[in-house]
Amino acid sequence: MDWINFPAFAGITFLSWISGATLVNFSSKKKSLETAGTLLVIAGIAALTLFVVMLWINLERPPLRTLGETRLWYSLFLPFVGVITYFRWRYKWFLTYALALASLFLMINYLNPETYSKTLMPALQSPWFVPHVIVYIFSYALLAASSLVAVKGLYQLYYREINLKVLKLADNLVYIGFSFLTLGLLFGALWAKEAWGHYWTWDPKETWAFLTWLCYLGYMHFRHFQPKKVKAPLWALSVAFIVLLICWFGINYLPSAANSVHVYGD
Amino acid sequence: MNIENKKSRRKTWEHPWKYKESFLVVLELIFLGLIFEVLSGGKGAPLLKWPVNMGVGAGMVLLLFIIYYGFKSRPMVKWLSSVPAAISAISFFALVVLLLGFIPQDDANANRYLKLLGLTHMKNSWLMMVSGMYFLTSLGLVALRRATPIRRKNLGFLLNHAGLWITIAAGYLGAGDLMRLNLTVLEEHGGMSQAVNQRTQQSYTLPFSVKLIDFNIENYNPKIAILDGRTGSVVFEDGKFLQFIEQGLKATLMDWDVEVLEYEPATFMNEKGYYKTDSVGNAPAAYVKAINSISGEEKEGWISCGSFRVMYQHLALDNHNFLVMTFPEPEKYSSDIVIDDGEREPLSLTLEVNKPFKYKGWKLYQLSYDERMGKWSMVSVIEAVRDPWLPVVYFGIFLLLGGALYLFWIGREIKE
Repeated sequence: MDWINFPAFAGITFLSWISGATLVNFSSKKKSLETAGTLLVIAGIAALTLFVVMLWINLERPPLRTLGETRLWYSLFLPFVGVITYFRWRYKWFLTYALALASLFLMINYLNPETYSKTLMPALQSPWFVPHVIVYIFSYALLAASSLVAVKGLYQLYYREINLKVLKLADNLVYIGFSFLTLGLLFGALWAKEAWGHYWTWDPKETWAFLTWLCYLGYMHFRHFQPKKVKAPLWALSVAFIVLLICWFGINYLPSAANSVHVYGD
Repeated sequence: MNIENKKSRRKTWEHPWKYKESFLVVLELIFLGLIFEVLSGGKGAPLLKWPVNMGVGAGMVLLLFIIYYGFKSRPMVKWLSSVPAAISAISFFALVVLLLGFIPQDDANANRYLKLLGLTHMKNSWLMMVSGMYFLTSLGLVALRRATPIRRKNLGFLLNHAGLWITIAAGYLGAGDLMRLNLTVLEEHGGMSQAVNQRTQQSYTLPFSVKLIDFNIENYNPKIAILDGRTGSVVFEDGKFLQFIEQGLKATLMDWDVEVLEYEPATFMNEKGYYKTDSVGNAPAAYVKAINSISGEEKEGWISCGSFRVMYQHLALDNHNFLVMTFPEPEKYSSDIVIDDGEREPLSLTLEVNKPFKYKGWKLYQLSYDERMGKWSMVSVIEAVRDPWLPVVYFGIFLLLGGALYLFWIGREIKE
């Protein structure tokens, strides 16, 4: 099994996901259609898992070295978490969102396979690498969605009638996103202890990740205390996302981040 | 909204305190922190060492219990464990972290007034200390309030709040006992136990010695690239990654179809070309052919990244474009060492990046090597870390991990 077989597997996976997501979203409360949709999604995940396993055996090393290989794992984990969340919360939109994001990664791999390897510095070669990155990517995706919802809420607030459902949705996104953010932060700390000798060194990325975490923490407390207030939390969510963006890639441009271990690229 | 208006008729500082008072308290604490810093001459808050930190920690816990159980119905204590106080504490902490994130830290050329206020060494400034204490006080009281009586539905709340309290308190108190030392060991030398403290640059004698038997590097293959002679830098095409050189590699770089006809990872050079050798200082070399896909022009020859023994070699494609080989990057490096504490049987092991070794309360890490010598480095730098508070921090972290999973699973359900 090799990257040559990728288009076939990706094709099967993509088709199962798109038909599965369609069935789940348009089942109009028909239980059997919804179950069939979920099964299709799981079948897609299974096909991709098979590909990853075979690739692993073929390469005689975990396929975690190249960027393309990492994207493969995103495409595998995102729907996995999507399905779990769906079983727990029945969020169709969430499953759809995870599948769409995963398909995007599949598409990038299909168009730009980069099967040749890219070097990975020794400190990054750790079992923590994948969970740390995947959990963060997932959390960022959720929090980005919560900010989109908040902007929609602000628009409603100023130009239309505010629908309080908007804030509920934002809250759910923030709660799940925040739990992943916490996991990412803690995985990072545990990894740092193994790789760099200490769990917390106020590396600029750590600093900004912690700041992001505090912003969402503040939001959650505010919502808990005054659930009737609308304007302030909506603004807070929009601002929190700016902090998150600085943390995500903005720190590459901050003077205080010149020596960060997280500044990638040349 | 109406309720809010009625409440705002309450005078400032009249209990129950809300956001306004909470943020005024924070403002006072900021001044307090800055004043302390200036009084200390911009040297920051002292790092507490064993056993003082243990005493302070025990004192903090005791004080929280006394305040809570002795005075929990006092308006002041009620306020400290209220959400407005929590939000003000989070904001204060966030402000401090924001300053830390924006102002370059530990910069020798920093403005002296910034330094006097502690803004260039935020992590051990008085401002950080004061905000941390306020944060821990509020957090601790909240945790205690939910912990009594202990109920199952408060489990997630407790995991998160107590976990955070323990993690931050132990991390802060343990900072003074944390020792991070650099131990430089050389091949063909005896055991070394003299290490240098990374923070203070002071010498420290470890309770054991480390002897370097062999230092190993496994390199990735070098990569093939086009160097633009006008800029002196490698041409990246659309951010594509450079390809590893291997026998038979075919690649398209700009307008050139390049083929690697021969690749030798370890060579020396003489007048006839490159030949295989195991000798010290060898370098990888490749015989390449490049065909211009537009003009059909053909070039071929040897390229090598060179080493301190072998000459660098490129293949000129035109006036300013050169086909070059990059230096191989390390894939992994490790040290075969022997540890001896003078009592037990000496211990042989291999230290590798990301695979530290625990020994007598110390953790040993492969840190670096002589990069100029690359795979012939006779030197290995080992980091020795002692952090007696780590188990407490980890306990807090594991509570938080549990709390995060709980939060994911339960979500907003509790309150609705």
